[in-house]
Amino acid sequence: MPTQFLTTLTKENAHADGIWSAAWSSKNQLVTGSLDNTVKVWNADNGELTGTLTGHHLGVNSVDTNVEGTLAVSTSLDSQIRIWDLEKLKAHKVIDAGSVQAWTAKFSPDSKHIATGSSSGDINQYNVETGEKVQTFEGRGKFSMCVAYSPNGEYVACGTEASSDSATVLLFDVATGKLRSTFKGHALTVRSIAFSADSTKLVTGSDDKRIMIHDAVHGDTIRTLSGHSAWVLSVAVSSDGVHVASGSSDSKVKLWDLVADQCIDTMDGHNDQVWGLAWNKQGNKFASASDDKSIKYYSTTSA
Amino acid sequence: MYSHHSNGSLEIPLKGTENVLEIARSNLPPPTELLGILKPEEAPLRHYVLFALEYARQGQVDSAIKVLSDGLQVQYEPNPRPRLPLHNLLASLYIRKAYQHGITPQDRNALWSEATKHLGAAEKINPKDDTTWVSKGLLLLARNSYDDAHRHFKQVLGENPRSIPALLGMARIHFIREAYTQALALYRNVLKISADCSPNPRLGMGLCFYKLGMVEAAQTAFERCIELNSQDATAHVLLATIQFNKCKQTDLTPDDITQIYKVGFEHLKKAYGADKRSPVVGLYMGKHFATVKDTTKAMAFATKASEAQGLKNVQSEGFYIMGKIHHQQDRFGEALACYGKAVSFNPDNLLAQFGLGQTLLFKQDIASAITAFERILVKEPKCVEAIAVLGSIYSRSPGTKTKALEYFDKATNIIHERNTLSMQDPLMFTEMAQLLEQTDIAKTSKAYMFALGICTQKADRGETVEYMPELLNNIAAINHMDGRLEQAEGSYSKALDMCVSKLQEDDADMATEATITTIRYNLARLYEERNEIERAEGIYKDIAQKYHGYADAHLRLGVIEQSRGNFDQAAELYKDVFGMIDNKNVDAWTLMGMLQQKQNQIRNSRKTLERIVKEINRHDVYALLALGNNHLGIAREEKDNMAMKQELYKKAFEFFDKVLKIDAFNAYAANGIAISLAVHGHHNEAREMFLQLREAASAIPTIWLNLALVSADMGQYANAVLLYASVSKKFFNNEDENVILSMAKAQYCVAKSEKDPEKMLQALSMAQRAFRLQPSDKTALYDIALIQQSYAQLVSDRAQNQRTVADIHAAMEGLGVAKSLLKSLIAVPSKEHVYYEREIAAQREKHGDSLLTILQRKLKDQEVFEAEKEKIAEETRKKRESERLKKDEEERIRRQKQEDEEREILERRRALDQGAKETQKELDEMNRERSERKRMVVSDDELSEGEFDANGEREVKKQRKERKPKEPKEPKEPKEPKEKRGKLRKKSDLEGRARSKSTDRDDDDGMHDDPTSRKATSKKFKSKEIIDSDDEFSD
Repeated sequence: MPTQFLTTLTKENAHADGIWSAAWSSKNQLVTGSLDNTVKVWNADNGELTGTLTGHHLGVNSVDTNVEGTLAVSTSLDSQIRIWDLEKLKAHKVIDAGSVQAWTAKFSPDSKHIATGSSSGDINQYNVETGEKVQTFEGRGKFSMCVAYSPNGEYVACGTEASSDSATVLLFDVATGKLRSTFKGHALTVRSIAFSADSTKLVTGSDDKRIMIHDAVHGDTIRTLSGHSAWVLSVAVSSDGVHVASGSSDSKVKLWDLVADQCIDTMDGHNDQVWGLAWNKQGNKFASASDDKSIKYYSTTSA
Repeated sequence: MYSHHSNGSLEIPLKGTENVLEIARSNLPPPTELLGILKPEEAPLRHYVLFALEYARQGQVDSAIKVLSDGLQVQYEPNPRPRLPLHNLLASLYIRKAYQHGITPQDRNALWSEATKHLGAAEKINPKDDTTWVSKGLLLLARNSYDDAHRHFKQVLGENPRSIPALLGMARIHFIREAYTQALALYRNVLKISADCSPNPRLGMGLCFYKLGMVEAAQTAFERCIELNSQDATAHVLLATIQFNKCKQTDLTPDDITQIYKVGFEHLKKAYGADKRSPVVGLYMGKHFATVKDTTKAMAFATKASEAQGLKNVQSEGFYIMGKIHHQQDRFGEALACYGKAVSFNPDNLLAQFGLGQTLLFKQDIASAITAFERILVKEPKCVEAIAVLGSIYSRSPGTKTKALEYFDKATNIIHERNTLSMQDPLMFTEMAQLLEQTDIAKTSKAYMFALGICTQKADRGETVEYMPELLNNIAAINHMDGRLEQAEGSYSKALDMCVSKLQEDDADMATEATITTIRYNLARLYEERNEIERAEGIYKDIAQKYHGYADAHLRLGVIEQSRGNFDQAAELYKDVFGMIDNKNVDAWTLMGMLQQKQNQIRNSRKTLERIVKEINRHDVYALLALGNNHLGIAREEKDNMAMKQELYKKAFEFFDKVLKIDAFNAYAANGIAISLAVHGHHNEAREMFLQLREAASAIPTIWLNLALVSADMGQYANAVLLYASVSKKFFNNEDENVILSMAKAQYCVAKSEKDPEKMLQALSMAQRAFRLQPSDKTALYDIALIQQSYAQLVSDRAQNQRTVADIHAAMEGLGVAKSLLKSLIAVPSKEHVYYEREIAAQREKHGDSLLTILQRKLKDQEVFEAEKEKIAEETRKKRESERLKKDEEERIRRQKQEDEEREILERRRALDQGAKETQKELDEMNRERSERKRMVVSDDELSEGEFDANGEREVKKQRKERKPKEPKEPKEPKEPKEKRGKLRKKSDLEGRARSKSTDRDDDDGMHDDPTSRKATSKKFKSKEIIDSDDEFSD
């Protein structure tokens, strides 16, 4: 019998407006970014608000935390990258990437860099401390909607907006800066991307309602998961590599068994688009954040 | 005349001697030879009779007649009297002859005339002769004049109650009149009188038993007949009939049926052995051979039966069997003719009637077929088969669908009544379901379930059910359409399994393969609906590969590719269909047209759609609608040439109008018309129409969108926002950037018209949502910048006391965001197409700058204003504080003064001389009494309120009262006694209350001086006063 996840906590009206992204730090803090221009930090154990970080002038499009759980990065629609100190709960650094040049941002596994996707399709890598752009992975000219580092730090990947025939997923070698693989399976915009903990698999979600699992090492697409009735807006892989959670504009959260290659559960607790999904470090809990302003926490029954 | 002579020979007295000539019965000479002896010997006429009887007994009726006729001619007998028996016997023989098989009506009438002639002659000789009367009765019976026959038999029986022929005739009449009990009694009577009478009364008894439902008794009777005469063909045939009828019982196993049939057939064979010429036996032989499919023999026997002159029922049956054989061998013309004859011989032959209807139907003579089936219903109003066929006939023409449904309903009800589902034809329910599909899905599904139930029962009985998979498929399709996907999948899979196992038996079965393809296609549609696209795709691809001509599979593949955004592949697939499979496939052309529209190839799209209307079907609603929308779209885009714009709108209108002419209830077309109304400025009418449409067809997003659009056009922005919000969520999962941008725009208008910055921020939030969905689309970004500026403007325009420094800061930050956005928008390379004017964006940027300057100034003013305000507030606060302090000081001084005064008084009192003490005491006493009264009233009040008020209120009142003592400055009194008194008063006071109520009117008379009553009155005033003062106090 597959592992069962139950909704353990729901935080209604967690933000004043829709929630657009979520990250679960290794120090058990949930960080959320919202259309209300704020980033909020929550105690992931009891769901209580730890702090509200202000500074963005437009909606907060993406959030991420570093491996140590000490810093958070967020991007807003006006392409401001803000780095926050999660311990002192205050601004650490601001990087202005220029209009639509930093759509989403991720910390590198060594916490030294931040990678962002841009409208030109390139992935830009910034130094966390200096705030300077240090490297560019050249894309194909199509808006880079989402980025992810492999946990081993070898790769960085991005999903792009659809062109006339397909949307691509690009995988770069961090060390050389070279394009390593191109996956062309998705037909429409790829809105979310995530690596498995062992860095071998790349999971992508797209407007074509499908989720694809790619082999990062050999560069081919392993399989396709369909089940959502609308765009797949968010994907997240559990650290044990067993589960993928996906959120969709059909308001549903689906849980997939990556081994058995099937949907094992569908949660329909949200009533609007589900943009944010994050697993805890142990891989036995995850949280979903939705445009309906609520955050939901799920936990295995065995946990 | 029916009696037997026991001895073996007949005698002829020889003329003039005492000698007789003996002639053996077993060796009768031919009549001419016999007459050659009788006449010359002048034998008495009674000898003629004896010989005639013997001839008749041996079945040589003609010889008997010959002898008798010649006997009547002899001259040597002068008396008429001896001729009487000859006449009687002749009449009798003629009547019997008229009953012969295969006789023509003319011959029969001739025979009856002969009989009548002889009976007339007999009557002349002796009008009261019993035998003559009996024969007359029999003749009347033969001629179906039952009443007259009855009269004659009755007459005879009056004279001779034991007259067997009269009794038999009477029994026959009763039997014909279906008075089986009476008939049975008479046959029994005959049996008592003459146990070995012929014809055997046991046959009559058996028939009566059978008609009375006593099948066992009937069988015993017939078997007894056979014991007495093993060659009794009638008994055998009747026994066979009983057995054959038994086979029709429902609760028999196939083995039982075979067994019973076998017994019946043995009897039939014996009957045939006994009497090869009996038409009834022949008929049953025919039926038998028809059953065992020996058509040649069956045909021979049936033909013979059909020629059994005078036995209309037998003839009818014979023709029916012939018709059935022809029918089975697809010789419909012959079958039709035979059935027709069968019906003409016996209009009550319902099976023949049914066959007639069926063949007429096959010959496409629908009207006659309907008449044939309706005739069955006249006789058998509950004949389900006929009702079902009629329903089926009516279901085929569009005008009589309702009638068809009535018939199907009727049939269903009868089937329910009889509870004989297993015997029914599933086809009726299938037809019924197909008929209902357009109107009533619930009933359709029920009808299909019936059909399925019947099929399952049939299958359980081991019968093959041809179209079970198709049936399952249809049931699944209904579940599918109704969204019960699990059930649908189950049925599809079951149907598929059946087909596959069928195919294993016969792998060249084309029909089954076709069914498999259909079911698989349906399953794929189901997977598609469940978003298992790959699974669906796999099936479609497989179908398309195996059966290249299966256009729908190609089209679905195209739709899937299109939904993935693979427009080129989709287009290829559509082209495959109309290019290689079917150039007139409307679906393919339509999909192509829609795809082109989606790709903004408006001109191409129009051409494709026009092709459908021009070359394939000019009434194709879908293409016409698409063309209407196409023109509408171009008209909307047209910004410069207003005449062209109007022309395009007009054309769009024409297309929609055409659709409405074809389908008056087409919501999409009505939608288009409403749009035309809207663009021509008839907003109210358009809105009204959209509202109605939304009611009628709430599943069509464009109607909602149009309603929102018109609402916005009419300036009902808030309403438009609500409509956009609901349509975005309901139909687009909030995925459509344009819908959300439209909503943002409407919200922007709301904020602007209401000059409400908060509402402008909501517009900003909407625009951001839109932008997030499609970040490469710069329109949303431009809108964000614009809204930010408008927000700043609104804040700037607000009165100082309606905004805050924080608002201005937010507005300025927004302006900063707007500026950077506008800058990037202006910098977008000119080769990239954008939906905003770069110049206007530049102007906007400048406008933002000046707005910023203004705001910076206003910020200072606001800071000053707020500082001022704060200062004033502070001053006021301080002023209040100092005032309060002053007041407090004054109060303190006043109190001090008062205390001083009081002390002074007390001191002065103390200073009074001792003599004045008495007076003082009295004064004190008075004082106390007054205050006591007041106090007491208060406690009364407390009580009564407590009685009537809810707890909460009571609390409040109590609290209020607690404050009371503060106000009236009265000398403090010892508490206890007062309370006690109050409590003591409690009861009497309540009594007083009650009394005062009942005596209210009397109060005016001043008759009552009851103190309690008065107190109650006074209390009223008091309590009111207190509350008032209380209120004042609390204010």
